[in-house]
Amino acid sequence: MANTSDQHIAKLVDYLRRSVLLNPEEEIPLDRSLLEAGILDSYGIVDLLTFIEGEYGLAIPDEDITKEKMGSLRKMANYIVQRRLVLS
Amino acid sequence: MTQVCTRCVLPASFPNISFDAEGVCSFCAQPETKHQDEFDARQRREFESIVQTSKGRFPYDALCCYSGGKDSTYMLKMMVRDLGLNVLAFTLDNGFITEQSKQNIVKVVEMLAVDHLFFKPARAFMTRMYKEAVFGDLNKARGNYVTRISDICLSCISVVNTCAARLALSYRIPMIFAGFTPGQIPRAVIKNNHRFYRQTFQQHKEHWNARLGAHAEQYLDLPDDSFEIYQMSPYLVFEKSEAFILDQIKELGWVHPEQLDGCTSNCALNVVGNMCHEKKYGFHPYALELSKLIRKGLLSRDEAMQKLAQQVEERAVEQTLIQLGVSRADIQALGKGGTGPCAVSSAA
Repeated sequence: MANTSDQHIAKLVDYLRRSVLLNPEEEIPLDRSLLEAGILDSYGIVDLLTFIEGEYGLAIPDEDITKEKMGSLRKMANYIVQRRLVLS
Repeated sequence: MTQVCTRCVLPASFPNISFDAEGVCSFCAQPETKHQDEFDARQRREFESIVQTSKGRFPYDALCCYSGGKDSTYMLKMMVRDLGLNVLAFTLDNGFITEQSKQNIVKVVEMLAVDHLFFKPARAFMTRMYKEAVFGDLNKARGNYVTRISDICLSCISVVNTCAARLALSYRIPMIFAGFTPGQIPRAVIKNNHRFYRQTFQQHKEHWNARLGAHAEQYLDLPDDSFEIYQMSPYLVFEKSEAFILDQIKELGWVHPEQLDGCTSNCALNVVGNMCHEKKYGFHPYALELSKLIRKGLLSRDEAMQKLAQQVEERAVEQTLIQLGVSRADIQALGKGGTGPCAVSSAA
């Protein structure tokens, strides 16, 4: 099944490792804000959200870009699961 | 000699890169996202809709971040003549804009009959910021930015963005246009989230103030204001080749400045930013952007290689280094990343 939160997390981590990170060995926290962890800057967050939209065919409304909904990779993955359920 | 991708310009020294048997890099080999066409179409609709709904609501429809380079020159022409916007053009003079570029700016805003403002931040602040960015740890908490931009450009563009947002807030201008290329920014429309910006600034405030002094707030923080502003990057929806842009801006009297590296058409500091980046990280800061333009068909590999290889006369580089207060020995001594405050002499 290709729709679990863990699989989405794996896809997002893979994207960060192959396209964004200076050091591919860098530890990526799953439950912490990537901005606060110093992994991404604001551009990096926009880039990651753009990847999600392009990869999953989702339009993410502005009001959903909050720390509560998108404040970590796990939250982003859960958001993908929920949005796809709503749209299916 | 360092291996370079046979399709784009990414070198083997670029982070996380690998090559297949034909010498094609992993960035060229990986497909775009699954729903890229759908995303691109949605992005274009959103861009056009915001332009239409923003027109005529306030005295100015849009603020144009006008550097005087070729991309922002054509963008300004497009905003006025194609999109029919009432524009306020804004130039942040970082102290390194060439004389020819300043002449271009004056000529073009006259030709297009738009209002224009120059803003020149204090030289002492800007040179300190550039040196802290290159030789210190100013940008260290900002993630993995160095794969796509030099330390100097990142700090400069932060000041440009903040000053543009401050202007847009004070004049109530609903859109800010910037000439970012498809390789420089991920999406064409970004709604400015002031709360988010302020949170980011607050998060780094102590560090930035320690490195740059209390003036940092003046250049890098925004007032608490909920006025809605959209950041618009038209080159992501109206993709144009460099040859097309150069041809289109001829009629405005725009002249290509001399003594610049191949990746800028207005800023004499860019070459120093590139030198420092290559020394510090081992690859050219424009390599990723140019590789994306090649994959999009907007630039040939040969053109990109020429841009990366274009040399600037020693005398011109020397002049920029003196103005910045940095020596070649300082650059030679650059190691990986800064670990504290800048140790390079602040005499400029």
